[in-house]
Amino acid sequence: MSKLTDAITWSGRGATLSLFALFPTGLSAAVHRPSGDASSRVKMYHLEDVDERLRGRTCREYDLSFDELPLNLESVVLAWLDAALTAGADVAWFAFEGSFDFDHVLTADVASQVFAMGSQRSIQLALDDRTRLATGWATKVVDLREQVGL
Amino acid sequence: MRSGGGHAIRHLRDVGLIANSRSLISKVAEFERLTSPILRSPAKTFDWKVGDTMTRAFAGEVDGRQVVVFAAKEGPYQGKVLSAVVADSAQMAQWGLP
Repeated sequence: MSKLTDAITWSGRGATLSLFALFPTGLSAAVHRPSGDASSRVKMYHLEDVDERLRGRTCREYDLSFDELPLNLESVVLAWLDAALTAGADVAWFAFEGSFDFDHVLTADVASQVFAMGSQRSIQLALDDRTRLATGWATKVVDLREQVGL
Repeated sequence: MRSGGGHAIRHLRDVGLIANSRSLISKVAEFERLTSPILRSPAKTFDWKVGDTMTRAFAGEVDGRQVVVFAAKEGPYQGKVLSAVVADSAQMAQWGLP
């Protein structure tokens, strides 16, 4: 087990992957479930940015539940990031339970809890602990935050 | 509670303990009303990792259901509620809840 697998199975109820996606103002396109997706349940939440920290963007969270840790984690993550970006998200990322806060979107202090992220330009993964915990990954996370003007 | 309420409110909303139709402010208030007694006087406490963050878990009963509230012991949200769940039977066994 890695820190990542421990983190996504923390509840003891299979595995949960939390995908966050920022959409431009007014865009309400649905994120379509990728073909072949093996999650047992997908829940979508609109995160209410009452203090307007996201500068007018809207944020949605998709909690993907799996009965067991998916063996093809990389494929799952890539497919869902692609689905969110295809739906028009400016940026989308996977992060651990308890990491999200409007004041800490893709900030350095939560970068080690982000394990995949993408924008309309590129997708970057940190599925191994070593990459995710390295300073270089935190720099990339913060770069993405700046890229989308947060 | 972190800005936006976080996973804690969403999990309790999913199981119907918090109404979905209310404003965020109302949901936060309802969450605090439901969980304050647990945080003040828990039936059981234990340490548990939520995601990659060590937390102190506070367990108690709400409307006959076992609710566990997790407060961060480390990291940028130290001292704040990170998550909350209504424990199912497997989790009750896992955490030694009655």
